[in-house]
Amino acid sequence: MFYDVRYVKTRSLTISLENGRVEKVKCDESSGKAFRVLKNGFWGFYSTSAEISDDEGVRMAEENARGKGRSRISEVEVRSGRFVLKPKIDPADVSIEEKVRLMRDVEKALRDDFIVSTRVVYIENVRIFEYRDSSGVEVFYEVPRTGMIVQAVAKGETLQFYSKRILKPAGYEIFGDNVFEIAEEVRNVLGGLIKAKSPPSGKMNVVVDPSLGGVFIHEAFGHAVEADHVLQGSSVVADKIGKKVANESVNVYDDPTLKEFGFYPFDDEGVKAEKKVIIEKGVLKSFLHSRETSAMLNGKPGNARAQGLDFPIVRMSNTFIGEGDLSFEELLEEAKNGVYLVGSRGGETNPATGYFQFNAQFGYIVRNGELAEMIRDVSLSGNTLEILKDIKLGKGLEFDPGFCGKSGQLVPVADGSPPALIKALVGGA
Amino acid sequence: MNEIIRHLDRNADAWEIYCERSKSKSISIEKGEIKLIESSEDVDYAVRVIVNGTVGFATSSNLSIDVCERAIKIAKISEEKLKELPEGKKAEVEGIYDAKVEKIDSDWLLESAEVLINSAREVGNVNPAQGYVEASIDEIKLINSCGADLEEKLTFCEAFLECVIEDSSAFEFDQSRTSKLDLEFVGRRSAELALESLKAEKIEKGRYDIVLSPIAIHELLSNALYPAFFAENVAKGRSPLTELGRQYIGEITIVDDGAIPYGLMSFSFDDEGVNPKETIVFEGGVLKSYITDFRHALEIGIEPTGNGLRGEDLYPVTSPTNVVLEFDDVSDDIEDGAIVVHALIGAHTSNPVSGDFSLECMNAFFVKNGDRKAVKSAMIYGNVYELLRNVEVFGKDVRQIENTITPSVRFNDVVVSC
Repeated sequence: MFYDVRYVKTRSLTISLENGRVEKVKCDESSGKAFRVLKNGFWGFYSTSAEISDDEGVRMAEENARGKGRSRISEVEVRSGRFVLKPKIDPADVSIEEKVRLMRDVEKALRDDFIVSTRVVYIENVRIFEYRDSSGVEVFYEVPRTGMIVQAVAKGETLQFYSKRILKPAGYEIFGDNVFEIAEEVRNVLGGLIKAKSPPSGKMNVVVDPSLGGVFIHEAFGHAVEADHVLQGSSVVADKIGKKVANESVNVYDDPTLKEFGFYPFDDEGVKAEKKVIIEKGVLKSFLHSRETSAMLNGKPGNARAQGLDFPIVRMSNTFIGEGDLSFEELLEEAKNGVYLVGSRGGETNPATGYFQFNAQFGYIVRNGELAEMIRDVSLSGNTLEILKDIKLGKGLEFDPGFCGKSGQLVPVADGSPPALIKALVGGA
Repeated sequence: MNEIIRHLDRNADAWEIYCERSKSKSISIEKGEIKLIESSEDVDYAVRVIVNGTVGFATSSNLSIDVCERAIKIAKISEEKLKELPEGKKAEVEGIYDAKVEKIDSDWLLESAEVLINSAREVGNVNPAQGYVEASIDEIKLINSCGADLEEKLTFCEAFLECVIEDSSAFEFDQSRTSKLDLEFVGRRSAELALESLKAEKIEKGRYDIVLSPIAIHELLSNALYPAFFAENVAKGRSPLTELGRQYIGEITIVDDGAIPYGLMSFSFDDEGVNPKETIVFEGGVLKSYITDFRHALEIGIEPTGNGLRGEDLYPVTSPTNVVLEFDDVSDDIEDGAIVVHALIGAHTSNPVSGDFSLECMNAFFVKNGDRKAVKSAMIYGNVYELLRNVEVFGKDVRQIENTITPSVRFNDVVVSC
């Protein structure tokens, strides 16, 4: 019988400044334990926020291991570890008044005649994680996450809204000119958006900015290579390892060791984080694995994550497409006619069919290789097995943070890409 | 407990302690096999205080003087104004607790999962790729210094299955306040939809009549429409629904009612202690009223509507309860000549402020003279207010999906991009 024990403790503070007023201040401190037992190839799981001894918790989980199955799990190479991400400026050492002062200054940079609503949200949290299992693996980490979300609504002929965020696995030191720059950008974009036209529709050339490109690769490929979908028999790339899935310029990675929002030192199964090559020169190299999927499919574990005390499942971390060598102008020239789309409110994918949808926050018409009039938010769709064949990649990799939802669990991730040119279905008027 | 109440009485002008004790048990299916049984027991506390007219809030898995102190400290910098908390009122609501759910054990879950898998396999050679059956019991306690002393138990069960065959996939689910789940329906329907969606073909880009299933209606409206009728969003300039009495949509009536017997979102008091009631949001397409939490009801000067609900962070905000959609023209046969859409991909990316959406269809069929042709990769595009002005007819297949109670709805003239 295999068992493991997780102890998760979190502290968080969220402050909202809505139309200039401090509201919805939330302060949380919680902890709990989660236990897994693997017996006769069948999993039993128990979690609780109440005080409980490890022996008792394992016994509760074992009671749930009532069936017979084929699950197995892999051994872990690095058997112990400790990691504390010490922020340069611990948010706990900054007074709440100081945090509110910064938010008020950012909010001022958002204001304009056409802005009818503003929201600035400050977020800080710390995750303290302890893990041990029946094979002797023991790890500990403490990672803070800090950030700010800046949103506004503008009124012209229609109401429009736009949002930007900065979120990092770090402390209060991440705030500098950057938060004022994004506030300025939100204001400027909204000034254009209220006059912007409806986007066009149909299959067309789309130049994506790094933020949209990141969400694109997350939806287009990231989910399909999560090996739990492969075990379920619900991934279109299940039989594509070693095969060409993209053109030769395409390299795709998932790297939890980068200090972007999806950072973690160990996954929720106690496995030391490491960079995974998903696509190399257009060839599918590996899936993302948990200890179970790696044992069943002969891969490397390290990608199992959980929200809070939930059962860990295969997840992305910081997922990105490697840079190409085209300049932005060259991408526009290659596109010739189509759209340039910027930013994203996220997307969704069905790994079984390969169809995915992702949303852009605004954009511009591209006419004769040049940027023309501004267009409103629109979504795009495509299919995993087709979309990377004609992709062209630019220079300048950038990451955008966000939260990814799967099976009811949200985890912090970052998606990265250089500017790129794809052919996708745009759902415009 | 008494010591904590004494502490709050001494240091706050008003206070509230909310406690949620949840127990859940579930079973998971992977590729037609049962894989895992989970159970969890969680207790969470939220303390809200009013000090000198402003609100402080803190949460923890333990109730202690410390969590109260954190809430009090926050009240000092907060500008969230509140004079009082609800006095606490309960309504009699039938069908929100089923004692049988308390007895659900591993054997019941194992049997239910078998029924799900077998019902799917009886339809054809599909892979019941992933699914679950879950039962949960929530025990809510709410006390405050304004007189509320309320408690209740709520039960909830759900079964979900996604079936896959070749490059086709479909899901179905059933949710209930009782232990009665239609497992055969979930298994059979997800398998049928996956099979029917095989060999999908492209259609021409253009304007079509479309029929959205209750699942698709919920996915779209809960993201693109519902937030626009929260009083808070209207007051803060984030909603186009600024004029009561104005006709914004076609002649549809939309009612929020947290007291519907057996409603998935029904309760005898909301998470702030306000009793649930019927609120007519749109009557024949005319905006009649907003829904609200307690704080924004006071601030805006309207009656509380019993929509102060708490999500995972336990902070009470406005949220719909059971939203019922009604239309005069109802028919059994609404699919002919239309594209019928079972579910949407990416509905959360809809724009809640403008109402614009562009979404990928999942399990879509073009229906003509009884013939159903699976449609490959199509996006529907539009604005939710325009869409709701183009309702032709409602079907009779009424069901509740999360917080939406609706039949399938046929819309005219929707832009389909492919």
